[in-house]
Amino acid sequence: MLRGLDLATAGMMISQRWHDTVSNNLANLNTIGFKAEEAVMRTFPEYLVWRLGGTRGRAPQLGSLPHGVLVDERLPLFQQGTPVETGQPLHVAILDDPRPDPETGQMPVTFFTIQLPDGTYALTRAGQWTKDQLGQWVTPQGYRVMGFRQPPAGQAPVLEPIAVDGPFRITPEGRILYDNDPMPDQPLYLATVTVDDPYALIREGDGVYRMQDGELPPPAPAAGVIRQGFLERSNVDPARSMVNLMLAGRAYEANQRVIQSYDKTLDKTVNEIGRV
Amino acid sequence: MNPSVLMSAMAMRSSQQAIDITSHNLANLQTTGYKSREAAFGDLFLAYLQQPRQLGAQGRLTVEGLRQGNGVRLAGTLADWRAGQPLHTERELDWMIQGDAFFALEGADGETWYTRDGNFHLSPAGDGNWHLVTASGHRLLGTDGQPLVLPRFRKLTVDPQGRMTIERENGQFETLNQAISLVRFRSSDILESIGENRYRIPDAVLAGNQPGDPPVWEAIPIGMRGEGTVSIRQGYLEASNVDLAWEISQLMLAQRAYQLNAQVLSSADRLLGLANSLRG
Repeated sequence: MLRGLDLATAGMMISQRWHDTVSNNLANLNTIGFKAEEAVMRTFPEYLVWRLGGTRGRAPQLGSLPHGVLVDERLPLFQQGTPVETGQPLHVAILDDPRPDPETGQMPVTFFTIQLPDGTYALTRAGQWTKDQLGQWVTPQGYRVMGFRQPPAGQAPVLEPIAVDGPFRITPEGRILYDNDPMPDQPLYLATVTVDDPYALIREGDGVYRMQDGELPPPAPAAGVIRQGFLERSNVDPARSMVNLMLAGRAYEANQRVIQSYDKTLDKTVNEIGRV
Repeated sequence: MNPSVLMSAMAMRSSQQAIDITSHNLANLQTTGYKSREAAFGDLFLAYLQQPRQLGAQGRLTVEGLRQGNGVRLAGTLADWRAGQPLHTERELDWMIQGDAFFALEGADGETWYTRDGNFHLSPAGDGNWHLVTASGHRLLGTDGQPLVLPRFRKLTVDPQGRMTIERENGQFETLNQAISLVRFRSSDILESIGENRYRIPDAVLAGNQPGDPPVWEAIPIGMRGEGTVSIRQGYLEASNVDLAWEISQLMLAQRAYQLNAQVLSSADRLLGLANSLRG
């Protein structure tokens, strides 16, 4: 059978996946804190091809042959989304340090800590919050935003929901300043977590990220990257996405043509050469 | 099925909802006491599709499986509770609340409704007395939880604490026993908007409040009112807090998002057409 038929089919399938990736990005053009994804393709493992019926009892090797292509992973791009000023007190954006770690070369990404309905903790970049009926800060989905109080030396910080009466201000370190703080000597901070390798996070819907083993590192004050009154917009680039959409569409079309061409070849083989 | 078709359709619907919210804000550009709302979106996630194990070994960055996103949804609409600009009307029954409180109104079916719109009118209460009512005819409550009753008067003054002093037709001054009720919510975000600037506490919130929980709302006692906390300004109304330039920019963003996703839909449709014409 013609091997190229499988290759072209794989080509159509990955173009579809690529198109889906771009569609998902464009659908989230206005989703606060959304990180665009990129489809990463790779060839199937190559096969060594041997000729049958060689001389001296051993088949000669012809060389390697790729066996198609697949979308291997969808890589989130953790570039900073544009911060846009809204002035609302419960709009909070994280502005990451744009310099990579001098030793590892990685770009650490800082996240807010939230609590999911099942009680486990997760991370998010979306800082568009509201208050629930207990006055606790929650995401639009109702997940609690977590804070912690700077404990006395030697003690581990404990995550707690944030409920603040009256006006408040958030410093760049994520400290929440408000009147009538019951524990002024243990300042209240937004619980932020800086992740060195954000690709290792499991990405779920609604802007939620989970750690692979479920364990969060202890919260720490953010290194001067919190901006109150700002929202971090989606980092999807519409122009680039449209170009990718066109490319994916044309790649799909090209592979469709290849299949048609193979079909013609087969037609000739079956109906003309084989005519008796 | 082609997931792109579904994703773009959902994105167009979300953009349409965002446009609806923005146009509602724009329609209320001049509504006193109006609080603007905004759309909050969340991305949808389908599954991590299974992949052969050996793929993981070769220089891959993310976790195992192929993440399949599934478009976007409107996660909620959030209110902006920031105060509007004071509008000087010099009308004695126009009262503006400074601070995060609400007027309490007598609603339908024995409910209490709440508003920030302090544009009141007089309605006859029998025996020559008056009730204070909103433009939609709902009576303003006093600190005793009953509708306020004003005797016949020539002039009415309201002090910042919400106490009312009337000048009777014979020139005598009298401070009324009942002051204007002001209510503050632990979280104003729980309020359900029921139109004409009125809000109510949803039944689900009252039902969900556990005995140990802090109260959903509290009346602000007269002693706690005053400059710097919560006060009333007579002769002023609170303008709508809708920012025209911001809303127009949001409208443009939503419209462009709609257009882009319509393009995605037609592109996805083209792919389906190509698949259909494989045996051309």
